[in-house]
Amino acid sequence: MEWLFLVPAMVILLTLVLFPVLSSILFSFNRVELRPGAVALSPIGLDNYQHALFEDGTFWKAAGNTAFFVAGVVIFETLIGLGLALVVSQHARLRRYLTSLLLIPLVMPPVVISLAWLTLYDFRGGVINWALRSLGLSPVQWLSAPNLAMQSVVIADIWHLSPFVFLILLAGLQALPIEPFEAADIDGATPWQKFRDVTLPLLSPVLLVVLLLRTIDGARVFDKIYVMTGGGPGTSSISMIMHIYRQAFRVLDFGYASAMSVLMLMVLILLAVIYVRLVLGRQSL
Amino acid sequence: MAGLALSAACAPTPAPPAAPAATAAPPATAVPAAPVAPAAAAAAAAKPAAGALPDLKGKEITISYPRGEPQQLEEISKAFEAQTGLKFNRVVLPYGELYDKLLINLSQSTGAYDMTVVDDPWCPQFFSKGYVQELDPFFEKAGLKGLDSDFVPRTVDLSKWPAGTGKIMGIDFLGNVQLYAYRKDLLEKYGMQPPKTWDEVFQFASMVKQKESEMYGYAMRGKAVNPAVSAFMPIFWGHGAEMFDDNYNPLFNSEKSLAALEFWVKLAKETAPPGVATFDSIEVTRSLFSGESAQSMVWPAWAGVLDDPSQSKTVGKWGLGVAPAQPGGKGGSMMGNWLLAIPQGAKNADAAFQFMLFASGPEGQRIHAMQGIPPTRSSVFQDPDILAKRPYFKSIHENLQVARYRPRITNWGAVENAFGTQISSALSGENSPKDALNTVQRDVVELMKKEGYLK
Repeated sequence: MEWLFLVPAMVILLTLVLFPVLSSILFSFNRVELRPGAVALSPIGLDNYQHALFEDGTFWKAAGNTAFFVAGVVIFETLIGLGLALVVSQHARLRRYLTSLLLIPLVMPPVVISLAWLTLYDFRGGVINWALRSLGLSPVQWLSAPNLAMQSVVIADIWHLSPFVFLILLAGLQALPIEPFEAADIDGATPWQKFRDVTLPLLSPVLLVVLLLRTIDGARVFDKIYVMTGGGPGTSSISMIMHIYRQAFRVLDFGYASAMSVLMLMVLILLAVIYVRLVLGRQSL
Repeated sequence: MAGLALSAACAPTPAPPAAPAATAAPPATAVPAAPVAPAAAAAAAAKPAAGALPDLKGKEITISYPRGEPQQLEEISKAFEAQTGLKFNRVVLPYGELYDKLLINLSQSTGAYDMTVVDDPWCPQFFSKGYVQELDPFFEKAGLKGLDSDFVPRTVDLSKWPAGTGKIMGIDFLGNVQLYAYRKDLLEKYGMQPPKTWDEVFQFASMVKQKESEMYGYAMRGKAVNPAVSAFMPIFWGHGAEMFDDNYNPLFNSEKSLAALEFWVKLAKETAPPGVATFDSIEVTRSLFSGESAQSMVWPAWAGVLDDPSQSKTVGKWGLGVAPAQPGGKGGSMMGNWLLAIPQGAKNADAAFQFMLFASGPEGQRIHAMQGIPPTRSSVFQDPDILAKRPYFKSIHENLQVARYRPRITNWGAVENAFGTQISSALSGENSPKDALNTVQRDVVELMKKEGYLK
């Protein structure tokens, strides 16, 4: 009878996760129309998938932008977060002040962060361009130049979420056993050798979890882009979720939006599997 | 339209007294006679709305409308409540959320709302797919012959499906339309006449850019999709371009379309503030109110603020006119009207219809007009009290009579998405105008086939 205790959780999981996923998959093979009192489906085979992969230029643009965003935020947030964590874990007093300071961006809602950065990036009145001007440099169109808009959003995200990586890695560092480090000291290891051969391998399970979280979360970026650039100028900063959202709720092509969601889900599952393999692989060594 | 949200404190003087009986006591005098001479029919149509308001005590309706400043329908519904006893549940939502909620509730006939406000780009979808109820039977039951002649004709067209000829599906009660705004002080300074063509707009714009320090010639919303399309339409139409021929064949890469887009990009590159490709209402209004830009197409809510000293540094310096047009182009500013409609499955449709008559009637629209929300009735536009308080209403009336509406196609959202992404991209220099329009043409042909307009 113990399994009865699982029922509530399973019911919630099934209705909130499995049902939407299954209906997305169903929608993706159909043309979906909202008719009075009904959701009308007419099967069209693989048309939606074909459209995404072979006809819709914006799909690939969005995929490229999303990959760029993920690569940018994962690399820089990990480097910055890890660097900070390493420094802070050595200094107890820094830890007290810096940790609470770095929590501030984390507790702010993403929309507020985006609006703040929108103001900072403003061409005429923004602080960043003001600083450039007072240094005698020419101001930059941070969000309205097609080749810069995506980078600018990446920078805002790095500012927002590096502290997240920092906090988790800091916790990871503090939980490491002390003996291997003592052994390394006795053997006369240099700080770099200690970092490369002791810290990094011991920290890697935590590091991989952080990478996994940031990759999946980064791939779903929507709020910052919606607020800061609207995907523009043109399509130069459109993300996958932004494209899916527009196709679903502005263009009203729910079938096509579902097909793109399914494609994205497949890519993310693949990435997750690779990460998890890496984590488990390390642990079994 | 989104622009309405901006008129925040445009009317520091309070809205008309909440007890409407004081302002509109004897309906006979409060309602100026309809301007059209054979008033028999018009007067008969206006009368039931203004004169004999029904007793609706004990009844209750739920209405939904977008959040805004000033708040549309709030004062009107209070006035109606006071006079008839009808109780209101008001669902006030931000613009984007309202659309999402309506989409679900109306398409699934949930009966959540008895009456709703609908933005005009949503109409083709809501009207054609039966999301809202046909209103002709309601008019018949009330002994009325449809929308009377006091309504500006284009707003009657918009209320019907198919537009202009079909059945009445909504009542256009809010005549939001673009106006052409220009700095008349600078025109005088350079001895120029108010521009009538887009070439003259460009000349004035370059003059300002070259001669004035820290000033730009023309501000526009270039942010992808809806803002870009709204800003571009007067220029597009003004160059004689059309989106579709009579058989719904897309004409996006025609010579005239290309000329229009090339003009827009040139106007932006040479005379507009940097970064217009991501400008939306906030950036454009800031540029106008701060005295940075000399011209733009503006919405009525912004026009109200141009001369408001608490928000604008340019009080008294603006002229308003109808949208310019190139020789041979039809011109026309774009309408962004709001309509009242009864959702399919509404539980109290009859009471809701009584309220719609009142809200779109002279008395209701007058309440809105005093708050700075544009009406759709000529009699209200011409009301001396209102003109004295809001002189720019004259320009709204002029523009509304020659304004154009977006194509009435059921997949407008999809077409706007394709068009608005590409023109924004051309504006930013990411794409050439020619490539951008070829892409739009290809995409829209596909969309029109998908929707069954083309084979």
